Amino acid sequence: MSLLKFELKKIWRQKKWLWLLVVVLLCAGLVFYQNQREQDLMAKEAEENIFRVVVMTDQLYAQLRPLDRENKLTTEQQIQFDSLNNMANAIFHWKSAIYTRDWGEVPQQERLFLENLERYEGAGGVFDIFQGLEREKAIAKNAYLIEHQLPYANETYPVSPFLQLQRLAAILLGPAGLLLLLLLFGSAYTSEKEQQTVLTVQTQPVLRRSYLLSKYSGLLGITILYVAIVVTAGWVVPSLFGDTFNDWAYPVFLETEDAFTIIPAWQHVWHLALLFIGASAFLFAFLLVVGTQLRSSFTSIMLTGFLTMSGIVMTETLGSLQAPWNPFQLFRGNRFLLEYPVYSIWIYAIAALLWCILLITIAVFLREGMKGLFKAAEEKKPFRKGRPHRLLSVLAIGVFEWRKSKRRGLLGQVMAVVAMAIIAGYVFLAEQVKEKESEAIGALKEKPDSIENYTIPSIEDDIRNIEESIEEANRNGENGESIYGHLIDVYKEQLAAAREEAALATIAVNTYEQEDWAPYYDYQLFNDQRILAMITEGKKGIHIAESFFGYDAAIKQKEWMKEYNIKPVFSGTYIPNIHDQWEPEERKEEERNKQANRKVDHSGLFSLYMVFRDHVYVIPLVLMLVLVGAGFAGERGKRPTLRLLQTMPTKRRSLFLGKTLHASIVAMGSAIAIFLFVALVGTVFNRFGDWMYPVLRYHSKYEVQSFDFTGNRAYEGGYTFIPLGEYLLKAILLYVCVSLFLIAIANVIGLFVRQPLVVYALTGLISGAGYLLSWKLDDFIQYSPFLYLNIPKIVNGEILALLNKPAISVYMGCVMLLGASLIVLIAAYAGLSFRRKDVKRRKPFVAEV
Amino acid sequence: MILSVKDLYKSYGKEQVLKGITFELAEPQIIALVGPNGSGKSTLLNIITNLLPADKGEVTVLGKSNRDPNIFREISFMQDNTVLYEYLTGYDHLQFICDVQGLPKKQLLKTADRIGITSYLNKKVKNYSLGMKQHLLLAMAVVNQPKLMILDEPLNGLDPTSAIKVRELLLALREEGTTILLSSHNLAEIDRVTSSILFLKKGNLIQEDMSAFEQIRYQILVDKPEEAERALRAASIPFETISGRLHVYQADAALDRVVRVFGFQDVTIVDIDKKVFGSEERYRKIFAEETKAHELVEV
Repeated sequence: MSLLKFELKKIWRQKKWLWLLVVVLLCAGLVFYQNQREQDLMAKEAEENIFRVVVMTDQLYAQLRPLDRENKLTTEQQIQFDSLNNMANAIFHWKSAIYTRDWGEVPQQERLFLENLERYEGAGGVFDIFQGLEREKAIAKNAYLIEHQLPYANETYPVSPFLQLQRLAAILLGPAGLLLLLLLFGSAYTSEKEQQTVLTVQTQPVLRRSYLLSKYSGLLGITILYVAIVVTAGWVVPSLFGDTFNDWAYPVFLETEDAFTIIPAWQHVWHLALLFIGASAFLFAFLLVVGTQLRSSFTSIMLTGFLTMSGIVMTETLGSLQAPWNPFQLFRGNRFLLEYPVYSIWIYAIAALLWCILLITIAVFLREGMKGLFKAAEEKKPFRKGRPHRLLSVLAIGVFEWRKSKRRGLLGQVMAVVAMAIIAGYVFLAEQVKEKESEAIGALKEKPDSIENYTIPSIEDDIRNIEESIEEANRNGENGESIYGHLIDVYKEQLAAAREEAALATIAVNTYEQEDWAPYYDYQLFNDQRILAMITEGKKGIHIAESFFGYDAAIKQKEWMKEYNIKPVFSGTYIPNIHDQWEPEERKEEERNKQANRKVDHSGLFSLYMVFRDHVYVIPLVLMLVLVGAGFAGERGKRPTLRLLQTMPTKRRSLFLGKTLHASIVAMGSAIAIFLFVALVGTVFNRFGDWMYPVLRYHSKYEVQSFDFTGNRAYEGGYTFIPLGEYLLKAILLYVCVSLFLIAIANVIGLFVRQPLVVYALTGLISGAGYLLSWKLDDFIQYSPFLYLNIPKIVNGEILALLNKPAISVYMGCVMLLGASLIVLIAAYAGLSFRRKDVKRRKPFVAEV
Repeated sequence: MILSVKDLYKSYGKEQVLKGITFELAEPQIIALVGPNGSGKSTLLNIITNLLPADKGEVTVLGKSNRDPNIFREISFMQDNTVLYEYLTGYDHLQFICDVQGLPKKQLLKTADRIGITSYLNKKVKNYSLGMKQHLLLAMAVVNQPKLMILDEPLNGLDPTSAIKVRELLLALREEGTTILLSSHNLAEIDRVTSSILFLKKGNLIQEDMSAFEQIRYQILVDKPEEAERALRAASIPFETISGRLHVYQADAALDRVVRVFGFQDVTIVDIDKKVFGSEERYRKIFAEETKAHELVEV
C-alpha cells in the first residue's frame, strides 16, 4: 500500500495529469464549438429525414381526395382517407415543431403519424416506403422517447451533455486516448531504470512483484482518472454552454443489418469507458513486460506501440480474430459497440482482466533485462577512427550534435516508424485507388448498355409520344407542329448526344485496357462540355453552387492530360475550387462534392503530391521539431548536460548556432529522405508517375486583368496548370524553408524555456496564432512568414487569389521565411553576445560578522 | 594571478548564499573548499566558472574575466556526473573536448591511459558505474592540461584504490604546476592532499592554513590513572581524561617527557595511540553549531 501511495504521489508531483486535463478540455471545447456551429443544420436535416414520408403521404392523399369529393369512398377507403388525413395533419404539426424548434413536440406528432399509418395499413392501405427494419426502428425509438419523456435531439451534431459525451468518448476513449496515455505515462517504469531511481526502491525491503504491481496500479489509477476527466469535461462543457436537456437516457441504437436494440446513452458511454479501461490495462501490462526487458523508455514505447498497432490492424483485417478473447478487440470498442451485441460487455472485461493477470505474471517472473535485449553494453567504434576534428567551434558543436543523434538512435527509430507508416498508408491508398478506378471503369463499361437499353428507348418513347400528340393536335384542327414540333428537335438532339456518348464510351472502354487514354478523355470532354452548357443555361435562373471555373478548369485539365497522354486519375470530373458558392446550409453537399471529386493515385509522384495537398507534411514537420527542435531546453532538467558544453572554450552563441545548424540540417535531410521514400514506395509498387500531370494554379484578379496574362480566364477568375513535378519541387523548397523557420523559432524559445514540451507547445501556438493573425495584415500580408506555413495553398496560388495579392508566391515565401529565420537567429545571437556582460545590479547585502 | 575572486554576492530569493566572498590564488597549489551541505560551495564554483551569474562581484581567471569562454582553454571544471551524455561513449566525450580545444588524438589516449579508463572508453556512459563516471569526468578535466582545475566533489563514489589513485594524480598535477581548487566533504582525504582550506560558513569565507592547526594528540591508557593524573598535574602538563584515557597534546609536552613523569610515579603505560588532528578539528570548531546539532540528531 505504501508503494502504491508512493507511486500516486510521484504521478501527482510530475503534474503530467495537467496535460491530460488540458488536452481533454481542449477537445471537449472544440467538439462542442464545432457542433454548436452546425446547429442551424438540425432543422434542415430533420426535415430531410421526413421528406420521403411527406411526399408519399401527399400522393396517397391526393389519390383518395377525388373519390372523397365525389363521396365514392368505400368503408375501408374511408378509414384509409381519414388515416391519411390524420397523418398529413400530424406531419403538418411535426414540420411546425421543426420550424419552431419545439423538439419536445416532435415525438408526439411522430407517434400520431405512426399510429395513423398503422391504421391506414390495417385498412388495406399500402405505404410503399418506410418499411421493415426502418419502420421498426422508428417505432421503437418513438416509443422510447415518449416513455422517457425525451425530446428529439440533434444526433449528428449533438450539444446535449450525454450525446456530446458519447461523441467525445468515441474520440478520447479510443485509440487516440490510449496513445495519449502511452506517450505521457509509458515511461513510468523504464524512466526509473534510465535515471536509476529504481535503486531507491530496490534498496528497500520490497519485493519486485510488489514494486511492479504498485507501478501497474498507479498506471491503472491514472487511466481511471483520465476516464473521469473525459466524462466530467464531456458532460460539464455542454451543460454549461449548451441549450440542452437531460439526455442521459437518450436512445442509442445498436444494430446490424437485420437486428437492433436500444440502450440509453449513459450505458453506451459506460461500455466505452469499460472497454477503454480494459484496453489501457492490457496496454500498460504489455508495456510493463516490454519494459522489464529494455532500459530505454523511447524504445519501450515505440515497440509496445508498434506491436499493439500490428495487433489492431490484424484484428481489423481478419474477421475471425474479432472475438472477446483477442485483447486487441478491446481497442476497437468504438467500432463494434454500436453493433447489435453478440457478447456481453462483461465477457470483454473478464478477458481483459485475464490477459492483464497473465502479462503481469510474466513481467513478475521474467528476469529483469537491465542490459537490455539490444546489446546496450556493446562497444561503439569512435567516430573518424578517434581522430579529433579541427573545426570552427560552431561546426564542432554541430558535429557533436550529429554524433549525439547517431549514438542516441532516436532519429533512426523515428525514421523506421515513419517508413512503416508510409508503407501502411500506401497500402491503404492503393486499395482506395483500386476501388475508385474499378468503380469508374465499371460505370464506364455499363454506360453503352445503359444508354442503348434505357436512355435511347426512353427518348424514342418520348419522341413517339410527342409525334402522337402532334397527330392528335392536328386531328383536333390545331397546328401540332407549331405546338410540339420544337420538342421533337430537343429530343432528337438528346438522342444524337446519347448515341455519341454511347459510341465514345465503347471506344473508351476498349482502348483504356490498352493504355490509350485519349478516347477516355474524349468521352469525358464530351460530357463535361454538355454539363457546362447546361450549367450555363441553368445558372441564369437558379442557384448552382458549382462554378463555371470548376467545369472550365476540368475541361482544360483533360485537354492537357489528353495532349500529354497522362493516365487518368480518379475520381470525379469536376474540380472543386475557391469560386464554388456553397451556402452555409449546403456544407454536407459541399463535402460530398469534394469527396466525389477527390483525385487519388498511388504512383510515386502523385503519392507525394497527396502528402502536400492533404497537409500530411505536417507530420514529419512536427516529428522533426520534436526530435531536434528543443535546443537548449533539451539539455536542461534532470540531466543538465548544457553545463558541460558551457565549460568549453566556446561562446554561448556558438553553442546556439551549432545546435540550430545541426537541427536545421537534420530536419531538412530527414524530410527530404521521407519525401523521396514516399515517391520510391509509389514507384516500386506502382509507377513513377506523370511529371506533366496538370495541377491547378489560381491567379489573382490583378494578374488576370493584365494584358500579358497568358493563362486561362474563366467567368470567376484566372488559372493555369503547372506540371506536377514543378509543383512538387516548389512544395519541397517551401517545406525546407518552413522547417528552417520553425527550427529557428523553437531554438530561440529553447533559450528561455526549461521544458522541451513547452518549447514544442509554444512553437505550435506561435505558428498557429501567427498564421491566423497574418490574415489581418491587409496590405502587408505578403510579408508575414507565417502565411507561408500553408504550403499547398501557397504553391497552388489559392491564398494569392483569395487575397488578390500577386506578390504572394513560393519564392516570396522562401525569402520571407529565410529572412525571418535569419532575423530571429541574429537577434538571438546578438542577445547571447550581450547577455551577462554586466552582473545583475542589486543592492549589496552587508554581512553581519 | 591564477584566480582572483573579489566581493562576490549571490542570493536565491531572500536567502543570501554568498556575502562578499574574496580570495586569491597566486601560485600553483591545491586548495580545498569545505562547508556543510547547502553552504554555497557549488554556487561559488559555478560563479567562478561563469555557469551562474553573481549578483555582485568580480572573478578573474589567469588575468581574464571569467565571462571570456576562452578561459576554458586553460582551466577545467569537473562537475557532477549528471552532465554526462548517457548515450555517448567516454571516447565521444573526450573527442568532443579535443575537437573544441584543438587537441591531438595522442593527448586523448595519453590522458585516458593516465586516468585508467581505456578499458571502458568505447562503452556508452549509461553502462558506467559511479566510479567509472567520476574517472571519465576527471579525464575530461585533465585532457586539456589546464593551469587551473576546479573539481566539485572529485572523490565522490570512488573506492579506496581509486581514491588513492586520484589523490596521487592530484599531487602529481600540482607538481606539474597545476592549481587545483576542489570541493569535498571528505576531510581525511583533504588532509592528505592539502593544508590550504577555504571554509564557507553562512556565506562568508574563512581561509585557513591547516599546517598551523595541525596537532598530534596522544591517547594514553595507564594502569594507575589517579597517580598518572597527579603526576601530570605536578609536572604542569595539561591533559584531559576522556573515557578513561588521558589525552595529551604534543604541543604541550613531548611524549618522552610524559613517559619520564610516569616513570617517577611508577605508572605503567598499557596502551598508547597517536592521532593527528587537522581540518576535521578545525571544521568542528568553525562549524560548532552545525556539528553539535548533527550530533544531537544522531543521538
